[in-house]
Amino acid sequence: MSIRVESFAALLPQGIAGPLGLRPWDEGQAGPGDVRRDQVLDKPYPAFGKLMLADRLAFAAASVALAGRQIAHKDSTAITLGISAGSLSTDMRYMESVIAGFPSPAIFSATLPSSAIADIAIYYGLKGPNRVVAGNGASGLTALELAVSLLKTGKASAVLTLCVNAVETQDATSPLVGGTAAASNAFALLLSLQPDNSGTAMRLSASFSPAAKEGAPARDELYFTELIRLVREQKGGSIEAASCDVAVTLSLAKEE
Amino acid sequence: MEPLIDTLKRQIIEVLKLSDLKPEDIDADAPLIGAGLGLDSIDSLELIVLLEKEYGVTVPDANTGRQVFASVRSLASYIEENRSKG
Repeated sequence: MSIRVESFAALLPQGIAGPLGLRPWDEGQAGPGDVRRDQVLDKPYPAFGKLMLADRLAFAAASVALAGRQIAHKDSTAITLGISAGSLSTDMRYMESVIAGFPSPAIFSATLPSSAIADIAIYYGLKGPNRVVAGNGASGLTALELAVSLLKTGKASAVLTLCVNAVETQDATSPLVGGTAAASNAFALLLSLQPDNSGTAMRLSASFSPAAKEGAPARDELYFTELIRLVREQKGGSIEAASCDVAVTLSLAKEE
Repeated sequence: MEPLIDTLKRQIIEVLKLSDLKPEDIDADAPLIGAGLGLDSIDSLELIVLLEKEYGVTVPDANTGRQVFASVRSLASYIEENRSKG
């Protein structure tokens, strides 16, 4: 089967990448964690500032990928989200408010790995199925696999696939969510089935083998960065990635 | 009461992370929930926490809450009235 990459986005340490190119962070912005509403949204959304870090990264990546696009079949447009540490960073913030004696209702309402999906689905009116997976460094690849599955089985006409790594604290020893402020990243791919006899769109062909690969642990950001580089440069190529229990081979090719 | 209204506007922006707003953008007489500032029920819970944490004032029931959160001015009035009781 082949899949069309309709659009893409990446929030990287060096800037925001999307179909229109790379926009570096403004002076004073350390990286993706500092993304502002006016940099990614083309219509008002007062709640953007209230989103917790992981949700804000997912929302921002989705917004860049969907900017200026008319989504044809919102009822069957799905969302899959791979979020490396789930809602851990939000959970930590909530516990801080509990310890301070005033549990925060707003933070509590976001202590779900899937809360970003709800925000995006409501904002863009997407009513297709959704899936969230929190599996450390292979979460995004698994979300991509789920997206392909939804398309392949006809459960969705298009899928917005998101991969989020949220670094909440400068404490590098903090489990899963520690590191430098610039270390957060987020990726979005808008995928659809490649229709027959279509134009000159780029294609992403994906196949999955059931056997897990041995070797280095999967790191979503490396694979997604490479995938988006290939998409941006419209080059053919392949990425082989070993995720938790599935080996993924992605190949990109320009349609003749 | 005007100084308290100004303080509340700053606190609302900070607590609800309305980073795109400035205190002068908030109309003291505009509805807080729904229209006006466009806050939702979760935001109103957050404001209840703010009242208790910063002013030691509680909102005992939903009917009172509807009156208290009608606007920033009504919020300030409620705080002044109940702080003096304390």
